[in-house]
Amino acid sequence: MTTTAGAIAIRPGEHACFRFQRQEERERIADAFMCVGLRLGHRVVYLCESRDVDATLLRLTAAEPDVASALRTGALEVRDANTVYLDGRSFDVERMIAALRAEHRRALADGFAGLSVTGDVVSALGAAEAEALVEYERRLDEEFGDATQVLLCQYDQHRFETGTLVEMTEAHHVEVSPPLATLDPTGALAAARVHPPETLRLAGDLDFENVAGLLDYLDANVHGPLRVDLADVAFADVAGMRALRGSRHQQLTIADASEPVRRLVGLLGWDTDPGVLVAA
Amino acid sequence: MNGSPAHHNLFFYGDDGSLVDQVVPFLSEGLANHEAVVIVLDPRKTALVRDALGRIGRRVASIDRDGYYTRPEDALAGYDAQVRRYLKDGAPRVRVFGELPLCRTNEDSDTWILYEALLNPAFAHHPVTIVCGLDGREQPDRVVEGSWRTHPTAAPTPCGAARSPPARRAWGLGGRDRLSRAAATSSGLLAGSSPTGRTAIATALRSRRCATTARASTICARRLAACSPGRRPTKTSRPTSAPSSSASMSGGGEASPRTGSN
Repeated sequence: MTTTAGAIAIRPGEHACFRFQRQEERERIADAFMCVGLRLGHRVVYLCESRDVDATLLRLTAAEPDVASALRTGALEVRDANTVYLDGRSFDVERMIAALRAEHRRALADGFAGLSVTGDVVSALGAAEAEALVEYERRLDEEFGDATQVLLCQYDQHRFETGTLVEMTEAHHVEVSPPLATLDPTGALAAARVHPPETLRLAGDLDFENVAGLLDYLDANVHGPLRVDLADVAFADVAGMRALRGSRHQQLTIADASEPVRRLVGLLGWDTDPGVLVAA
Repeated sequence: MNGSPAHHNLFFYGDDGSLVDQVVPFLSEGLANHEAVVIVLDPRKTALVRDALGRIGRRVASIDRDGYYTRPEDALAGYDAQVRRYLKDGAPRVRVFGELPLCRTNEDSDTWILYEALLNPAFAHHPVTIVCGLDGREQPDRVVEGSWRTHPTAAPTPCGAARSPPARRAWGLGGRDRLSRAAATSSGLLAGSSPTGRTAIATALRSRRCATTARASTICARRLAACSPGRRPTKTSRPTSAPSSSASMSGGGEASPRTGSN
């Protein structure tokens, strides 16, 4: 495979976030998001700090074969977050939301199926008060739900107070912070934390090759009943499914499932297993 | 299976400022990791910590110290139930900052130090991080000294990794000799790491309690004995998950008949 980016457990219409500590994590998740956006036929706006624009362009062009043509057609824009969001003025929640709406209209007018935006929030809004940022994220979560737009906010963990991070994360109902989005080193399987209700969403291939990271994650983080959403699992095998029971065989609720998963649920006899609840 | 959790730490302090400075980052880190975060303090310190946490303060659960710590057996059972509840509700981990009740007599001090010792094996298999606050202004020397022995790691920063002896010294009130004495006696009883240690805990509890309590302690000791033979506590070890042994410690609960692996 020539691409480095893999699956990402974010759906159209969602406002998601991730917190990162290392640059590699951030690039991996943002790149996967970009590839998914391009596949959806969206315009992808990739925001970064002004000094990083050129480096990001170089990196993306080298890593992804489609990037050069996407840049030519306007399907991908790598831009300085400051000019998009702030335009030289101070931070204002309403103006930011208006700017995003305008971007969305422009993408649709240009013939794209939608708009996918990802950006490092602090580089764009560095000057803003933490409280205003939280307010902004809450408004975004309320305002944007249209299936033709996807937002992925990036938070550099070193640049925020922990208390602010807690509130920011809560303002997004989808979170793909590492190790969720990076569960599998090959990128074939990715996860997201969706709430409420607290659900682990998986996307990609859930099979024997990719489950090691999932098993580790479940071991470390899940000590009670587990609720999963498997609607975005494109392929599954028995090893992948059994991994969901974890080493503790916890109660499992399957909130949603794709066709391959449903078939395996039947083959495994989980539809009559008292330890597994499969929602209709 | 280790008899002592690397995550039962001691935070020794002498003024409100350092309490807030160290505990607030510790608690908010837990919140950021979506952990269940609990404080067990007196009302004054509860208010102090909550204020310092700001808007995220309401996400921290608080338990009144003096209402909670009536008897060690009760407190242990209560903790166990509470931790299981949080984990069942989806918390990846439980983070606790708690302080012992004021110990006015030697008997009180010994009872609660034994309780601290019991916490080590009791929570060895739970995904918990417990930091015990020790306020040098409130507690008698006997508690201070016992606390050094009952906490596998004692640290000036609660969220930090295991501290080396020099760091412990830096935070000891009584200086070098007290600490080295503590270190010298820190093997047997403290972590219930040997069968003798467990018996000693039960015996000690029995000797200072009425018959009912003694029965409870025997049960307690029996449950501790049910966990696998402990190895020497090491600083780097982390509590590992062991469904069967942790379930037997609690006398059932979430025991699963199937523990096969994939």
